[in-house]
Amino acid sequence: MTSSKSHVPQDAEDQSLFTAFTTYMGFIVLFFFGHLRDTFGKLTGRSRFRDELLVKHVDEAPLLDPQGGAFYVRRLKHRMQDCFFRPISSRPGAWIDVMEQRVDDNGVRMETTGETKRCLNLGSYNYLGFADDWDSTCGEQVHAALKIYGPASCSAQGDAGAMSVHRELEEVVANFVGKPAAVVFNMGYNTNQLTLPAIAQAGSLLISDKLNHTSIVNGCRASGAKVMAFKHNMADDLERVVRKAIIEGRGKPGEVYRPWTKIIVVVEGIYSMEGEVCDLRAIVDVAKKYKCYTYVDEAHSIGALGKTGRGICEHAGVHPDEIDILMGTFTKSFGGMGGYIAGSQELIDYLRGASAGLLYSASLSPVVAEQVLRAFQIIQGEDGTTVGRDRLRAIKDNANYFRTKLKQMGCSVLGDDDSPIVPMMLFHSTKIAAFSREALDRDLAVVVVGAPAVPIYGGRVRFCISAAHTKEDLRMALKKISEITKVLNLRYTRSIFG
Amino acid sequence: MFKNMAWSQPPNEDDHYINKNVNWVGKRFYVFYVFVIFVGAYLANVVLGTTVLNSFQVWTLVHVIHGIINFTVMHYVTGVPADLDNDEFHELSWWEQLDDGVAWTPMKRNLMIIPVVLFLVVAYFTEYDPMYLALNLCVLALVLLPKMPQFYRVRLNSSASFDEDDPTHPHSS
Repeated sequence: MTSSKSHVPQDAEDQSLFTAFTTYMGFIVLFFFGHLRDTFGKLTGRSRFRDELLVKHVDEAPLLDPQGGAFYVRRLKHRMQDCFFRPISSRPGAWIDVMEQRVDDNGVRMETTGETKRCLNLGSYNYLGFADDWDSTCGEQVHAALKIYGPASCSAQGDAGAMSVHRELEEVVANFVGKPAAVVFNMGYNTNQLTLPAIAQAGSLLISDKLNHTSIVNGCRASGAKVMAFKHNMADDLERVVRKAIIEGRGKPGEVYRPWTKIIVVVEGIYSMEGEVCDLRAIVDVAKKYKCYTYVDEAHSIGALGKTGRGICEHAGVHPDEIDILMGTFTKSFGGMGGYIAGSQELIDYLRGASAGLLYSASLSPVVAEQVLRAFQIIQGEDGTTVGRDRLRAIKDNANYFRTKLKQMGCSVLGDDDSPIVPMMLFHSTKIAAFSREALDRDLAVVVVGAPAVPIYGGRVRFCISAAHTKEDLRMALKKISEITKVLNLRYTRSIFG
Repeated sequence: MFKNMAWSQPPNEDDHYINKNVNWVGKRFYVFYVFVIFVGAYLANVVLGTTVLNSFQVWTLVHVIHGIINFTVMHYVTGVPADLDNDEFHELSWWEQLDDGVAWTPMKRNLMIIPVVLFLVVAYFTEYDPMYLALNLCVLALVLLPKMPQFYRVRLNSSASFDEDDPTHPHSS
């Protein structure tokens, strides 16, 4: 419990006792009233969740898992349903049209009214601003590609869907990240989900950061390999886990010692819920010391970190040769869709025949591939303009400016400098809903995050800064956020009461 | 009898999939727990102690209410409130979900100590009057026995569950 200016509450371990107490009280009240209403509903049958609460005798097993029947969804999530799933009706540029919704029946039903609201977009991953002026930067090439290739590839890469534009894109990606070869997938999530099972099997060990993305977690699970986690971003804990794994081997204590067939360490470049940059140098040193392979997911860092946008390797000063598998997505900085894996030529050749994403899933749409290609050209300055360089500088400046000003306000801001993701801690689950609604009232479109994506005491709002935001936009946003923090008591570094 | 005992190797901290229903308990929670008990006792004393009940009864009332809430929240209700990873916790009470069912972990020991200390405090303030002592001892037994590892997965006739009316889940018998 502290009120000194230098101490920034980062997560549950750092929040003041007052905040912890009020968070627990908030949950107790919510749970108590939720149970009260459930019990009332069960006893009297008068509840809008009548179908889920009353016991039914059914003749056949139900098809759908009752997601909506979970207590959490019924009594907690529905209360703030209007803060999620907000439809938009424009490009996700620096400004965005949010469709207004009317909430019926206390959150159970939501209907769009048909009106839209022009808001400042602080939620989209539009890091380099390609969504805003797409027509002038990429439009021409993409329209030309649409005429040549059509909108779809109609086949998997392994069958008849490997197009010349894919090959071009793969070469460009490989050159950009500094690896001999690369391969392109049609969906960023699937890149992780379908590559990890190809490179790790039963008998291997995958050591992934505790806060890795769901796609990595699911890919690890699907692979059949043993999965262990190390404390977020701590190279010492990684060393402890690696040593323990190598010493104990695959079997249980008492059995014959069986070594792991391989050990792969999986980390991310920027962690999207914390805005933190990976401690890549230390982690790679540990991995090399024990001869483990490294897999870095650069979904948020490629195109956003580093002087020329080459991602975490450039930012951390690690040579790409030291990392075995580099993965990234085109969704964030390149204004497209899809993902890539970059590595040695033999790895890529192997993946082409082993990864389900390349054999059974349709390949990336050629139109999107052309868009990404064009984005790479702009970033590298090959289109003859300085647009790429300006944007790379703008995103860093904007992110640092925004972050510094928020910290000066006294808010509890996570993440490292230069990272375009700026999460601000709210802690209470009730403040999550309040912040989202207050922001929308003031024409700010923000993304708030609550359990289960983050711990239950770690509610936060996650700002995504873009190169397309002007200083004026950010200044205006900061003024409005300042008002909101006064209303909601969010200045945790200034006072223990927020 | 030994089949149900859950003292196997310590919970694997490296395991990636942690039950979010229970992994938030920490030092702050214990402080909060004790704080709430104190506040409750003070309020009960102010509101009821000076008007309706005498001092012994107020303390016993606090102890009994604490016991009821403790038992209901930690041992009666089963399952997890949200549709998390899988259904493996559907039949387990909150206490049984702690630390993957391993007994005598620090967290569990702390949560056992608090009711015992509360009992001792209440016994002291009721001046060991036999009637109140007997009642409080029963409540202590109600709170402490389900926390013993021998009572892992032992059930009364019925138990509530967060998702008990879900037709896909068989009711526990």
